[in-house]
Amino acid sequence: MREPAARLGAVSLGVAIVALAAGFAHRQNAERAVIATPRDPAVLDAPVGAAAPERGRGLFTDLGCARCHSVAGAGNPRSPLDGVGARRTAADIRARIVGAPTVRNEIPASAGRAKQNLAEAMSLSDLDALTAFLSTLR
Amino acid sequence: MSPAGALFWALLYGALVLVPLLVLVSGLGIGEGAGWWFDFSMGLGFGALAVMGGQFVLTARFRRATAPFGIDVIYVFHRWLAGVGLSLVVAHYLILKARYPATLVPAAPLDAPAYMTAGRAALALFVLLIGSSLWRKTLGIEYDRWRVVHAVLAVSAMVFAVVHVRGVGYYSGIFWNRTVLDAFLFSLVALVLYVRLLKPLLAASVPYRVTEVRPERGNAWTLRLQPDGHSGFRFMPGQFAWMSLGVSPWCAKEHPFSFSESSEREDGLEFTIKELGDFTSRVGQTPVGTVAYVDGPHGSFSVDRYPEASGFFFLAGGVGIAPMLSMLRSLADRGDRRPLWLMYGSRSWDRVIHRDELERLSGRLDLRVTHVLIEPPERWEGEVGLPDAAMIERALGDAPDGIHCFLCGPEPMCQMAQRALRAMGIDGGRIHFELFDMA
Repeated sequence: MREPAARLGAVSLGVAIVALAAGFAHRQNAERAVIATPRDPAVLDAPVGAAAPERGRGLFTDLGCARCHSVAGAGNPRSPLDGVGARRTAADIRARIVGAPTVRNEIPASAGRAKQNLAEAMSLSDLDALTAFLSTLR
Repeated sequence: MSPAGALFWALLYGALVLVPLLVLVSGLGIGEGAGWWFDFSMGLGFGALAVMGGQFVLTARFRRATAPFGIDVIYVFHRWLAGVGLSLVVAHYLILKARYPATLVPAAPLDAPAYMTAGRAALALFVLLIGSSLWRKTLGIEYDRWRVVHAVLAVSAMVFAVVHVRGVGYYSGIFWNRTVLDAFLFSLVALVLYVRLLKPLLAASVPYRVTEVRPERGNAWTLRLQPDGHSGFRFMPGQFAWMSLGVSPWCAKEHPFSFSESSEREDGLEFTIKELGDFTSRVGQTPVGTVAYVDGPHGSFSVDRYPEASGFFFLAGGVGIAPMLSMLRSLADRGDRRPLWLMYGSRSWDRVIHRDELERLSGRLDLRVTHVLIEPPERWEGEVGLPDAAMIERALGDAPDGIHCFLCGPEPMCQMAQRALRAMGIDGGRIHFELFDMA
């Protein structure tokens, strides 16, 4: 009598957790926020640098940016970068790639550390290329 | 089982495990999701963390909270919940692997961020933890060693899981979420400190001394313990305690044993222990004066929980007689006149543990004893073989309605008896047994 009750209790708790997780996912994704893409001429006209965006796209994959970010649905959907080129200036994007002190308090500590490690491993031309690629995401 | 008490503690436990997830669900804004499957996976991860954390509460042996259920069934719950928790962890991982593979790249432990490697380590340790428990005997891991391994694996798996959740850092920007997570972690640390430091410290302050080591038939020994400098505790007949002999209370070498003495005696504790080839084979050599620590009483296997019973049927195999003897002795000391039946399976007549004591008790109680022997002596007219359904029917005959039945012995015997008794019309709620064989 008691053994089946214990089993039922454990399984019920598991079912309750799955239901709550599903409820959480549903609530979070009920009305997907539309990412604003202001067509600010100042942003559009900002200098992108001479680097080829195509090389930047390759770096985005090679450096493992998709672990935390997604582009066009590919990668980690927690922090999508679609439209980032329209929202931010090239200088801002650059600062965020390397986790510069000016943006450190806007991002989680673990992300800040990861970005700093990235900055140390990247050449300036890589950084330009990656910035150029992200600036094309409008 | 006391239904109100059981319901209270069960609800409290459910709330404890579900609160982190409830906070997660209610605390965030609507429509900030990263995709249904992604957030579902994160939810499962948080749920798994709560379930695995809750496991530490279950095995802390809180007497008040476990008493309404019987602590043996808490360990059954613990085992099932481990399976549930591991399923949640695996689902959390597999959803990411299937739908968001980029989040898991790179997988090499040194290339991946430390918090992702920690998550993978936690998953691997949970698998090891559960595998080494389910197949302890098959793997030949000795019980005392397994307990140490189990504690180390459990704590390290939990540490890695927490490092993972902390490192990923999702949803932790929300005040309540962070606060609940911190409170949860703080409670876990406090719990581990309580079980590993404070509880042994408390046990050390109430030591016992072995005052007598008495040989019994059938390679069994009775150990008598006296409280040393304190008044001991009262127990219900049929209950058991975790006891450690001659070792420090910190070294976790303790084993569960049933009290075999009457609960009406107030001058110490007695345990009857059979030599079973493990550490119990040395129990007979315990010197008088050896210090012992006793964590108890535990268990719900007692006639005292069913005062309304019209009589009792006891079925014991081998050393399973210990709790039955405690109940019979207590009933005799109280002058109980209800009808009692004892069916007792032993290998041979010479190896019937407490044979003479059972004879004496038959004179003091309305007790019918049926011995069942595998190797009967010549001219034996009693039952032969292993206890079976027909023997139980013959023994109980026209037993009055409203009797309660207690079973203690090898698992197959208890299962056979359960089926037989139910077939005789005895309700499952009146058939009681300890769910031993904890790992």
